[in-house]
Amino acid sequence: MKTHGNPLIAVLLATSLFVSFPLTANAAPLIKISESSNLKTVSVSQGSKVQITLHSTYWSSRKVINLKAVGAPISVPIMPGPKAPPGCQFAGTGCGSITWTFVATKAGSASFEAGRTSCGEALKCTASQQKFKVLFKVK
Amino acid sequence: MRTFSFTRVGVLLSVPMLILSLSIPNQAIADDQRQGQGQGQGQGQNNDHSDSQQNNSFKNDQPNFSNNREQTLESGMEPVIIQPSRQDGGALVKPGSAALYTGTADTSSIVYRLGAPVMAGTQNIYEVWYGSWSATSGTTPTAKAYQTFTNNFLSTMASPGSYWGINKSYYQATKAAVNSGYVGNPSLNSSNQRILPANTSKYGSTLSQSSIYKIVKDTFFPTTTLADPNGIYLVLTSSEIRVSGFGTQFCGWHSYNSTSKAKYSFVGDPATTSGCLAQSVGPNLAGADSMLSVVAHELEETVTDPQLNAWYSTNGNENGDKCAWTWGATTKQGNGGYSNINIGGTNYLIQQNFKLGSKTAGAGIDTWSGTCALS
Repeated sequence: MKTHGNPLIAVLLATSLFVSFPLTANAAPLIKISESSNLKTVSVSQGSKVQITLHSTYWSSRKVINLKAVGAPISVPIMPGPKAPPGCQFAGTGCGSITWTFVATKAGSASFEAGRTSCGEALKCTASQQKFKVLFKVK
Repeated sequence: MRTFSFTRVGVLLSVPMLILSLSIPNQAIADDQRQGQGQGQGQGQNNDHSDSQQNNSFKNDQPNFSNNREQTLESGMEPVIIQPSRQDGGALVKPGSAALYTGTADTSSIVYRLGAPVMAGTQNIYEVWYGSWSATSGTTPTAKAYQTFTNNFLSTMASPGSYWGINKSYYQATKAAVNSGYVGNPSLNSSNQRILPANTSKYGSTLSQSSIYKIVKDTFFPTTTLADPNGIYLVLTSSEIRVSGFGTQFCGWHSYNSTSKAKYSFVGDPATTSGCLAQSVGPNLAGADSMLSVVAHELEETVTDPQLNAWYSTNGNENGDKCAWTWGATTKQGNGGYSNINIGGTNYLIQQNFKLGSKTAGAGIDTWSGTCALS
């Protein structure tokens, strides 16, 4: 009985160990960031997932510090046409969004920076439109 | 150390879980996990940062990082691009000269969708110079110079080895590896060029986007349903003409009318619209130079994506978009303006175009790498 019981407990312990880690990961909060966070500092917990969405497909990441990327960025363009929202009727306007997802893996400071030089169809950006930057205080 | 303590936490967590696992039916555990995940997601949404969690405690370009190690993005991510030479938030400023606005190329692949047309063969260029373009009006003394300058470029840009050659590698195909035509050369004819003063037009000096098409139709095919299938219709407005969105949403655009099959485009004179002006002093006339670059942008997009369904990247960028505001090597002229190409003895500043590199065939698509180039 005793010999027979020990492996069972060991298996159950191992199983619960295996299960407990994904639960811990799932509990990490999802922090959503957009243009309103430009030039601000956001406090996040270590292990938090950070989702940054900018609403132009012309943005590209320029500099990422102390953030671990989760997958590739997802670009969702709004294609031109009669049913497109106002301002999006023409190709090249950059209508749509691009989303990056990261995990704040290390306590301390982290940052994300994106840039763009087109802000419409053949339209240049003003200085303030060219840069997005957010700092994270990772606790 | 971190791994060890994490393991201990895991063991501690595992004890109550073991007790729970012995007392709760499997289905109940599964439901709880789903609920927990759902709560986590909901909590995550509720945890969206708010202004109360933020402060403006750092300077834009000099963050106070305690650990400045830069992390390389994973495979498949966009490359990290550091541009230490850029000032003013991205635009390249050349010391001691008029600033030349310089963009960053979109070097992602461009995709051709099999079955979609390009403008194969020769294209006929039609022009409506709308507004104060009459050389005899006296209101815009440079008007004639704009037209002559623009048409000089359009009639020479396809000379061997010149600017238009990049477009001629774009093709149409009904199935993989079976091309049915390549983009051809543009053709100009003075009989297809009109000057239309606003005070003689029913559309006046404030144009909507839809009135651009009506100007094209009224001018070139008022009584027929179909436009020239090989035509590209340009509406070029003078600086005093107001076009909704010009300078705030676009500096130009191209479009397609599914009824008449017209491929048409709008470009405005940016002389008084800073958002569309590449530099304050151009190699010729700053407004004409910047306008011509946008004309080139729209033409190369029109011939490669005439119905908005052929050549563009997954982010929606057509070939012209991918290289907007990029110039390659530039030369400073005597007046302080910059040029990047000389055709027939005239210096121009024209944006680069997306030059196809190598192809990867896929299901219903051809994906092409490429770079921005001038020829």
